[in-house]
This record gives sequence, C-alpha cells and structure tokens, in this order.
Amino acid sequence: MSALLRAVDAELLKMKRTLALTLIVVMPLSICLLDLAILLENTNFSSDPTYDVWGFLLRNNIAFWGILMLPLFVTLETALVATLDHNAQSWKHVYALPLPRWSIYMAKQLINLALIAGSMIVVGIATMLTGVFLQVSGLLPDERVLPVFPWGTLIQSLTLLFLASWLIIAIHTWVSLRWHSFTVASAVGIVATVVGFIVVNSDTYAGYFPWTLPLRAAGPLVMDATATPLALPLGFIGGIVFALVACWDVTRQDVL
Amino acid sequence: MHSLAIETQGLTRKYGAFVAVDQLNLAVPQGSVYGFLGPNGAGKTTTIRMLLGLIRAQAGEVHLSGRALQAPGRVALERVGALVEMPSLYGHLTGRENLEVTRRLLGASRAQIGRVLQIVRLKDAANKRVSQYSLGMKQRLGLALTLLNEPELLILDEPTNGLDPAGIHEVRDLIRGFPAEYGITVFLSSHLLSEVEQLADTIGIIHQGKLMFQGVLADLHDQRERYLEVGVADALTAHDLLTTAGYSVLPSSNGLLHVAAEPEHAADLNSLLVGRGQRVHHLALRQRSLEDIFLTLTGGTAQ
Repeated sequence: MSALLRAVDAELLKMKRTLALTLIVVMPLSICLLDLAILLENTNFSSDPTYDVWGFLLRNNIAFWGILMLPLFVTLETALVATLDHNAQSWKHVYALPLPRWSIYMAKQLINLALIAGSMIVVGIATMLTGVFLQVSGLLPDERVLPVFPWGTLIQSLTLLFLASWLIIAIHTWVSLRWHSFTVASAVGIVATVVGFIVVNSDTYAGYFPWTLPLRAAGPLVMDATATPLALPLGFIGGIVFALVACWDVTRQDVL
Repeated sequence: MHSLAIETQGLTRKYGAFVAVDQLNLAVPQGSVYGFLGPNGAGKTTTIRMLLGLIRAQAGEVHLSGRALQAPGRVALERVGALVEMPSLYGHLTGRENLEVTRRLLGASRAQIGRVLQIVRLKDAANKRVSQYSLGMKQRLGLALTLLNEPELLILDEPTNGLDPAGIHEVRDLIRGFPAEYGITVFLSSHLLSEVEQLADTIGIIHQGKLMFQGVLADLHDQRERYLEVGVADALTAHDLLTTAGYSVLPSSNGLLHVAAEPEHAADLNSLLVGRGQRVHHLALRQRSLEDIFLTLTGGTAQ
C-alpha cells in the first residue's frame, strides 16, 4: 500500500502546469456559462415571478454535464494524463523501479478519479455562483430574491453522478494507457459520447450503456428516479471491477 | 557480496519464429564496466529489457547481485539504476521536479536529489524546465535519475546515442568515474566498438541474439592474430602457390594477400613467391585490429 501512496504522490507532482489541471475549472465553467445564456433567453424567467431559477440551473447544469460534457471531459482528462507518460516514454523507467506495477496503474486510476471529482466540485460551486451573479448583477427581474441555494439536492445529484461515472473513468483510463495514441483515446470517447446522446432516451439500452449511466444515476432532478438503483451499482461497482481487470491486463504487457 | 552483478542462464526471447535473444549466459563481475557490444538489431535492448523485467523471458533466469529477478517484491531491482535508450523525462517539469517524481516513487530521501545533481553537474540548471535542456543535459539528468536509489548496478542502453561530441565526452566522463568513485558496476550496451574500448574492462559481444564472446578486453586483444600482407602483380597465381604450399590465405579487401603466418616465415614466403617468378612489391607484418575481430564475430555488419 505504501507503494501506491508513493505512486499517487509522484502523480500529483506530474500534474503541475498541465492542461489537465486547468480543464478541471474551464470545462465546468463553460457548461455554466452556456446554461446562464439559455436562462437569460428564457421568457418564463423574465415574465414569471415564481420561476424556479435554482431548479433550472441545477437541472440543466447537471444534465448538460452528465450526458455531454462529462464523457468528453473524462476522455480528454484520461488521455492527457496518459500522454504525459507516453510522450516522456516513462514506462521503461517506472516499470524498472523496485515497486509493483499495479501501484503505477492504480495511481493513474486514482488521479483520474480525483480530477473528475474536482470537476464535479467546480460544477457545484459554479452553479451556485451563477445564481449569486444573477442576484448581485441585477439580472433578476422585478427585484426578485433567490431562495436559499439547494445544497442538499446538488450534492446528492453530483455524488450519484460521480459514483456512476467510475465505469467510464475506468474504461477511458484503460484505453488511454493501453494504446499510446491520443487519437485512439479521443476517438473512443467521442464515438461513445455521441452514441450515449442518442441511446439515453432508449428504454432498452440506456440502462446498460456505460456513458449514459452517470446521468441515469443522478436522481429525480434530471431523470426518472427509478433509473438510479440500477445505474448506480452498474457504474460504481462496474468501475471498480473494470479497473481491477484493466490493471491486470496493462501491467502484464511487455514494455517495448 | 555476490561476485557477479548480473548473471543470466539460458536467457531466451522469441518474437514468433524470430529468436531475438538465444540462450544468453551473461556473467558481469562486480565492480566492472561491462561493455555489451553488438550491431543494431543484435538483441542488446531486448536483453536489457529482460534484465529489468520490462519484457518476459520465454526461458532462462536472471540474477542481479545474486537475487532472482522474479523474486517477490522486485527486491532484485532495489539497488539497480537503469537508463534504457533515451531518458524518460517530463518536459513541463524542471530538472529538480523530474528527480522529485522518481524520488517519490522510490521513497528515497530528499538529500538524494542534491547529491545526484552534484554528481551529474546539473545544479545550476536544476530549476529550468527540461524542455529547455540540451540533449546532453537531458542525458545527464537521465543518469541522475538512475542514481537516486544509490545503485550498486547501473544498466545503460546506448547512453551516448544521439549526443554531440561534447555531450558524448561528458557522459563518458561520468560513466568512467562510477566504479571507482561510487562502487557502481556498470553494464553498458553499445554498437560502437570505440566506445566500449574506451569505457569497458570486460565485454560481451552479441550477434543475432547469441553471445559470441565474453571476457576481459585483454582476452580479445590476445585474439588479434598476426599475418603477413603481401603485394604481388598476379595475386591469383600467388594465392594458388601459397595455398598449395600450405599457407592459409585470409580474406582481404585491399587487393593485397593476407597470409596467416608468423614474422619468421616472411623470408621463406618471399623466396617461394620469387622462386616461382612472382614479383613481390610489398611485404609487411600486420596484426588484426579489434574491429576486424568484431566484424568477424558479428558477420561484418557492425558500424
């Protein structure tokens, strides 16, 4: 276990000055800005004094994030993290060090999970700040005052979204480490995201397609609440199982 | 301490029908600089990757300082530093941060970073990003990475490849000092005989995956046969005359006949040729160079 901690510690340092770290803030913010623009164009927002602004922001941010941006973000982050080592040709160096290979792989898996978790936190904070911005900037019509921010709903939805995304994080970690090509990793993610966008409304396939599981697990705010009990364990436990199998697969490969 | 830093028995690796490394029995003495010499594609890098457990051998065993490579916990690699081909460096990090990444992986003390920077003479550039380093500096930083765990054995694969003459000189200087100053055994691969001659005291020559020679450099020097170089107008007839008389005529590429004979036979050989009407215009005693031996052992494909 100390080898794993040492490997995670080394991974943290490698993240310094990387695009992967910057994107944790940029990608969630882009979703929140998009949502803000949509809200300001919404006629109900300007005409209905009882319009649920927090509900709109939470629902849309989590839905956009869950089905569109999160799969792309996972693709990009895992590929960027892996590319650091592919470009440095570091496998022949780290795998010749006296620590078990699994610890190197699992450190990557944990760093990817941490990066995605970080982005979820930014989504939450940025959602809240969008409302604060509306309030202080005077963009809320008729001197309306927003009610207390629904932290409980937000935290619950983002936690479910994150846990159910473990499977796609594990899949993309594997793809990006197994194949040394940024193009392969990106192509898998883009195709899967597009398919997910189509499949999400399918009663037959949406419940089992890894890239739609996060959104389906996110709870009643964005989906039918009955989807969560299947989507959450599939995404979460599936992610753990996949990561273990992927670790076994990658670490037994020859380092050429 | 075990007398051999590296010992392999029957080490073999195939890729399909192609045998990259064939029944290799290496014996690298502690405290030596061992030059692992062979032409490109001879199996040097495959061997090194097997020594480090990067690729699996299909047969054979590897022992590093007496410890089996396959032993649990990878203990055999605890005091081994390795630089395989180009150094593995992160361009967006500084030299010091690159060292810190490996230090964290090894769990080595922070003091090691200052120590290795001192050894490779990179203290002044330690806080510059590696993307701004020259090739020579990168190679020295790569060597510094290998020293972080205070190794007893360094495995270096073509460490001067791609460097300019100044960079080659710097790296050679460093390697030369390792055994005496730090008690490190160095296993060094190269396709250049001149490099190995300058650095190594013990050598192994690999060709088509097989070990063609292994021993101290002096033993190889002893194999440098002497021969007589003979220049005649009609080389074909002279060749026949000499072989009929029992001389062994070696292959040559300079138009002169190379005859395996000791200096005392020079006069007899000359008389024989002149007596049969051959006009001898050149007669000299020569000795085969190390390069000749290397070329013979490796089928003439070395650079």
